[in-house]
Order: sequence, then C-alpha cells, then structure tokens
Amino acid sequence: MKTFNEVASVIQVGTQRATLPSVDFLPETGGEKPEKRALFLAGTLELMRRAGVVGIDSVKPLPTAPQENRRVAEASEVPLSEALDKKMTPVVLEWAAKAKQLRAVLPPALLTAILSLVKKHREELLPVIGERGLWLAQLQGLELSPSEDEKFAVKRTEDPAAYREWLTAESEAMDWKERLKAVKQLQIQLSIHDEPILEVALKDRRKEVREAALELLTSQASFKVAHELAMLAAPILNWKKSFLSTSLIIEAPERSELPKWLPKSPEIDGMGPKAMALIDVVSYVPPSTWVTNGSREKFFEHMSKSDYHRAMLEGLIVAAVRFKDQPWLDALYELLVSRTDIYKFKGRALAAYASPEMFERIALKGLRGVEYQSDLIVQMIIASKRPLSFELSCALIDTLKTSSSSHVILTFFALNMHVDAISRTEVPIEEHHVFEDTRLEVRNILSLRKRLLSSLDSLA
Amino acid sequence: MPRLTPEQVIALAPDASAASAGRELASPAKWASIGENDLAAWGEAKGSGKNPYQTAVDLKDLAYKCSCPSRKLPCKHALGLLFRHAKSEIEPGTPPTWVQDWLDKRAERSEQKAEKAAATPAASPADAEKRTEKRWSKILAGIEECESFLEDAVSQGLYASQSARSWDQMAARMVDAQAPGIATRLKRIGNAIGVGETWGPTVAGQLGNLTLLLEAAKRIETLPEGLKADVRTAVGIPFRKEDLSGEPVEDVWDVLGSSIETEDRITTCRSWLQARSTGKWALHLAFSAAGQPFDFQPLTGTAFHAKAQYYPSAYPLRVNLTEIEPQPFQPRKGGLIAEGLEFAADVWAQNPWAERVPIPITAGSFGRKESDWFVIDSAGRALPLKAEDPWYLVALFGNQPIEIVGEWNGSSLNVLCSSDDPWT
Repeated sequence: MKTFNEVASVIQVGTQRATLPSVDFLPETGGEKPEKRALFLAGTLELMRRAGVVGIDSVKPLPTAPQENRRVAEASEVPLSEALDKKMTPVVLEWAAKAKQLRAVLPPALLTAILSLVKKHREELLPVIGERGLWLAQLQGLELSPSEDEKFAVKRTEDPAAYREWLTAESEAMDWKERLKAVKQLQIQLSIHDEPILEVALKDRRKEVREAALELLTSQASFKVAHELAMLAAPILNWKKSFLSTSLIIEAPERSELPKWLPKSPEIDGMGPKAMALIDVVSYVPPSTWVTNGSREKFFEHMSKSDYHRAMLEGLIVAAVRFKDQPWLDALYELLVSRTDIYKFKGRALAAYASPEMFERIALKGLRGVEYQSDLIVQMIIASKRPLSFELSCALIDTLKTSSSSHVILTFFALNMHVDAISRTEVPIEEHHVFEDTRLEVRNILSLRKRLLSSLDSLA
Repeated sequence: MPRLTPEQVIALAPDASAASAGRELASPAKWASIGENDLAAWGEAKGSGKNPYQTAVDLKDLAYKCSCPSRKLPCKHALGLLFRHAKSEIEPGTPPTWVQDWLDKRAERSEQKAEKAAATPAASPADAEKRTEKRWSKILAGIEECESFLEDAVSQGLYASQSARSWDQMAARMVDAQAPGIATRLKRIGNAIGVGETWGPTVAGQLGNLTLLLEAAKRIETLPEGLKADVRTAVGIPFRKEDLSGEPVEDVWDVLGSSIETEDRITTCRSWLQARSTGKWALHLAFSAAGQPFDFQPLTGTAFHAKAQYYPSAYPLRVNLTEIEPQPFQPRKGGLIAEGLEFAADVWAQNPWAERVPIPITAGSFGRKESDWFVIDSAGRALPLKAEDPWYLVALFGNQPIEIVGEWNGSSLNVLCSSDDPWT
C-alpha cells in the first residue's frame, strides 16, 4: 500500500520531477521509460491492493438503539413520508399532536427526515420521536435537552418559594436573557409573595425584563403597581349626563404624570404625545375597568365621538389580549370588522383571539356575502391561523367557483380546514381549468391530512 | 410477475421527484378511470389539460405508455398507477381499446423481433473474422495514441494535466477508433482528477488499470480465451446475446440487490442474482437509452426460475436470462466480510477489469471512524462505505445486526439492500 501511494505521488507530480520507488518484489515491467513503468506499477500495485484488502478491525459499531416502549405508528409511514416530501410541516405537526395524545411514535424510517425539523418544532415533535429518535439525535450530536424555559418552569412548579429564593440569589449572575426567562416563569402560581421580587425586576437594567415584570404586576389587582395604574386610569373617562343625553369625555394624561416604569408604546402615525400616553395607560389596565355598567356597544358608540377614540381603541386592543378578556376580545373584534371604513384591517390583530363562535359567525356571514367584506374576512381567516370548522371550511371551498385569485389562499387554507370538508371537493369544476386545479390541490391536501390522521385510528 | 411492493415501485422511479409525484398520483381522486388485469394496469390521470392523460403499464415486462409530455420513464402517472397496483387498489377490468391496441402492438413487435432474429442468416465465420480484424486494427491504432497520451500526462504529472477537456478529446478519439470502453475509462479519469481529497491514488489506480488493459489488448492473441473475452468486453466490443454458446444454467434466481446508474445518457440497471441451488452469482445488466424502458428489470426481493447463459469471461458473472418464470423470493444468509473479500480477490485475480463484486454480509452493523462510515460484520471486521449518508439505515434498524448486500469496488462498499429479517 505504501509503495502504491508512492507511485501515485510520482504520477501526480510527474516523472519529470520525481523518481519512482524501487519495487523489488515485481519484475521489471514497462521498459525503460519511467512514465511507462509508473503506469505499469500503478496498475499492478492497485490490483494487488484491491485484491488484498482484508478490512480493518479498529472500528467499533455504533451503539444499538434502546427498546421502544411506545407503539410505533407503522400505518402512518406512507402518508407521513408524503407530507415530509412535500414539506407540509403543518400537516406533520397536526399528525404529531394526535400521535402525542395516543402516545404513539414515528416509524423509524422517517426519523432522519423528522430530526431536521425537531430543532424548530421541538415542543410538537420531541414527544413523538420516541426512544429511537432520542438515541439517533444523540448520535448525530443534536441538542435536544429541555430548554431553559422548561427547566425554569419545572423548578417553579415544584416549589414556588424555593424558586423565588433561587432567583433572588442568582439573578445578578444571570445574563439578561436568562433573567427574562426566569422572571416570566413567575406567572406559574403567581401570588402576593412574588411582588417584592417582581418590583426588583421592574428596575432591571434591561427593558425586556422590566416589561415582563410589569406584565405580571398588572395581572393581579392586589399588586401595588396594578393599584397605581387603576388610580391613573380613574380620571381618564368622564361621563357627562344631561337631561337628554349622556356624553363621554376622555381626558388623556400627560406623559410626565406617568410613572417611569410604565413603558412607552411604539409610535403610531398621527398620534400626539398625550394620545400615546393614553395608550400606555389603557394597555396596562384590565378592559373591564372602563365599563362597569351599561353595554360595551354603548361605550364604543360614545368613545367614537371622542378625539381620543383611536388611542383608546389601540390601548383596549392590547389590554384585551394582555388580560385575555374574552367578552372584550369578541366585542372589539366585531367592532373592528364591522367598521372597516374607520379601522381598515385592524381586526387582523384580534382574529386569533376572538372566540370560535364569534369568529365563525362573522366569517360565515362575510363569505356568504350577507355582511362584511369577503376579502376582509379572508384576511381575518388567514391572520387567525386557527383550525376551521366543517361549516366554515365548506363555505371557503364554495368561494372557489367565484374567485379566480383564490388558488394560493385556498391551498393555504386547506392546511387548516376540517378534513371532512373533502366531501365538498367532489364535484369537478369543468368550466374553468384554474379553478379545477385548485379544487384538486385542496382535495389532495385534505385527503393527505385525512389519511394521516386516520392512520393513527388503529392505535386509538 | 408477483405484485410489486411500494418500495419496488419507488426503486423504479427515475429520480426522487418522480417518486414523490408518483406517490401523490396514487390518490384515487387523481384518476378519472382505472383498471387492471393480469397483463396490464391502465388509467386516465387527471392533469392540468382538458383531457386526462392515458397511462398504461405492461405488468409482465414493466413497459410504460403515457400520453403526458414528460420525458421521464416511468413518468409520474405510470408510477402513480403502479403505486395503486402495489397497494391492490385497482379493480380488475377489461382493457379499453387504447390499452389493448398498445398491448397487441407490443406483442406483435416482440414476435417480429423473434422472427427477424430467427430469419437473419448468421454471418459466415470468415466474414465475421474479417470484420473483427479490420476493427481491431483500428483499435490498435487508437491504443498507440492513447498510450502516448497517458505517458505524456504521467511525465508532466497529473497536476499539470487537470483539464478534463484534453481527456475528453482523447476519449472522443477512442470512440472514433471503435473502442468505447477505453473512451469511457478516459472520461472517468478526466472527471476524477482534482476531485476530492484522495483523487491522487484513485486516479493513479484507474490509469494503471487502463494501462494493463491497453497492453493486454495489444497482446490479445496470446491470452487465454476467458481473459481474451474480458479484454474485448472492457475495450468495448460486447458479445451479442445470439453469440453466447455456453450451456445455460437453469435454476431459481433470487434477486439480492440492484442499482441504477446513468452514464453518457445510457441508464444501466445492475442486478445481482444468486442461484438458489448452487449459490452461484450472476450479474444481469439492463440498458436503456433516452428514457426507454428496460427490456427486463429484476427487482430486489423477487425471484424467478430462468435459464442463465453466462457471457464469456475468465470469471463469468454477467448473464443473459431466458425463459423467466416468477417464483417466491427466498431470503438467505450472507457471510463474513473476509469471505466476501476472498471471493472478490478470486474474481480480480482472474479478471482485473471486473469493476464490482457482490458481498453479502450477515449480521452487519454500522460504525464511524472520524467522518468515515463503515459496515462491520459479526467478527468485527469493517469495510468502508461508499460516501453516502447511512443515517437512514441506522435509524431504520436501530443499528441492530442486519443482513446487507453490497457491491465492493476495492475501495468502498455500496449498500444495495438490507433487511432486519433473518435470512434463513
């Protein structure tokens, strides 16, 4: 082998520059020309090398995979591999959610393909890769250990008091990202005992940490910060009642009147400093603060007459999401969708938060042309990213015959549609090829999803 | 022919995208009509055009017909049809006229071919000898040029002759000299120079092997018959099926592994078969040009009774198959790496131009040394794997010992198939 490599080196650099090694164990071949002799030697030695290979003994086999304790979803292999080939990650994640419930794991043939997705979709896919997936990830050097968030969450859940002590002792040594994650986990079993540590965090040198602390300090009325904000909010709304009517006057605060720990909202075009200060306060106050008696609809009506109605609305949207106030989320969503003349596409911000009933009612009316603009509704459905009911899915498929721009949108929706809506795609659209292609595409996606989900039925 | 499995259908696909598209077309919604009988499967695939594509597959010979514009063979529609056939999703039926016409024409052409072959008078031995002599003198002239080209390259060093173009030009000259086998080797060398970290020894080995071939070709008259046949084949004068004269070996042949490769627009399907009663190896080669179907493509995991006539060689391996009758596949046990290497050494000692040799390994597992992958047998002996990602196999079998069949070229093993079932 050594002699062959020496001959190969001579061939690489040329016999004009290098001398061939002497090879005693072979007869003189190739005549006197060194290049000819080099070629013969290479041929003979390579043949000897090839025929003389015995393999090597120094390679250790990789360890074998551990036993899989959970059931392997064998029947999912073909449809799942189809979804992976087509890079339909949402479909794979949908399957993973069901497989996780059934404590089923991926067929091993798909592990290498799925591991490339695990880093990005760790929470959804890690539970379905099974023992073999974890073993393979370890062999491939993939870091799949729990994230800091998860470790902190476990710590907090186990013993909130010990967590507080640990955070107090360690926070100085943490970098700001760690501090942020650690403070956020105080939301688990949040109590009045957490107030001191959150107030310290409210003075943190990083804005992100301060905001996370404020988020928690405003979430419970018993906290001093929440109380202080409620006091700040109290003079904002002034109801004036006369004999014939009631009117609402909104008094926006000056920024200088607000505490330093209250963060400034991002600038909005056309809003002055007082309007921005109003948004800052309203967005951190529970929306229920504003309407103690009377309906929200009446409140909106009065609010719309104020110069500060846009600022008030901006603050309310953020607050409704922040405090997860479902009646307010629904009321605001309905308001924003019905008044596109004023609010344009602002409802998109709430599309994902409206209750299913509210969302569906508005979407169906819009798609059927009863109320609302259908293009606006389509935008809302896209923004919501929520699974669509059977009825809504059917209504969407029915729009296919009327809109030529719906190919991309509909195939996108097909990932969220109810799989039983496939029945709505049975009739070919003969009059238009483009629509027919879309119908087939939607049908294929729904069919794949249906096959994938039903492939788990035997494990149920 | 036994019903194909979905894995075998994937193996038929010309590339991964065709396989994927074919799988997509396996959905019932994609077919306006579909049917099959013992001879063929057919269907009308809905496409973007107004009319559906008419697709048919001859299940006996695996030939395809489709009215779609794709040049891939089989196209995605034929693959979709085969996937549905593999999953037994097609209802039996009577072929429509367009399918029956196609099948009739195929049968007619096959008959005509057989008749023509029977009717063509064999060239007189004297004429054949004259023609071979004429061709051989052309080849010898080409060889002389080729030798001085190689000597120049080695004299200057390969670093100085890294242009693949000059190698291609020499290869073209060898095509003119009617030595396409030499031309192919020259092109491979030209393409390998400077590629990868270990190109030096690889190319030196290829150059040396080619030099031995050129020398042997010059002295062909002095060589024993078997080796003479190997030189002739390696130079590029293949034997015709009709010229094979040895006694055929009649046996049941298990297809243990196959691979498909494309070089110079010719696609070759290499299938390794093993005789059930004697364990004798046989290599079946099927060729296809410009996307035409293979005449016969043995699929891994299938078996058939056939008469195998070996092509002349110092170590005969390649066969021509006739009277093929499907049989159930019978898995078998492989062996140790050392046994496979011994077989390889035996083949190369007799035919230095044999490129690859099959090695069946029992209880094989995978291992790594730095970035290189190896297959390891139960005795702890390891062989390097072809530079390909074996993670799929590791994941699939959890690195439990499995049966492996690979092709060994002296430097790396290309895994053709593997199984976690004990091959008894």
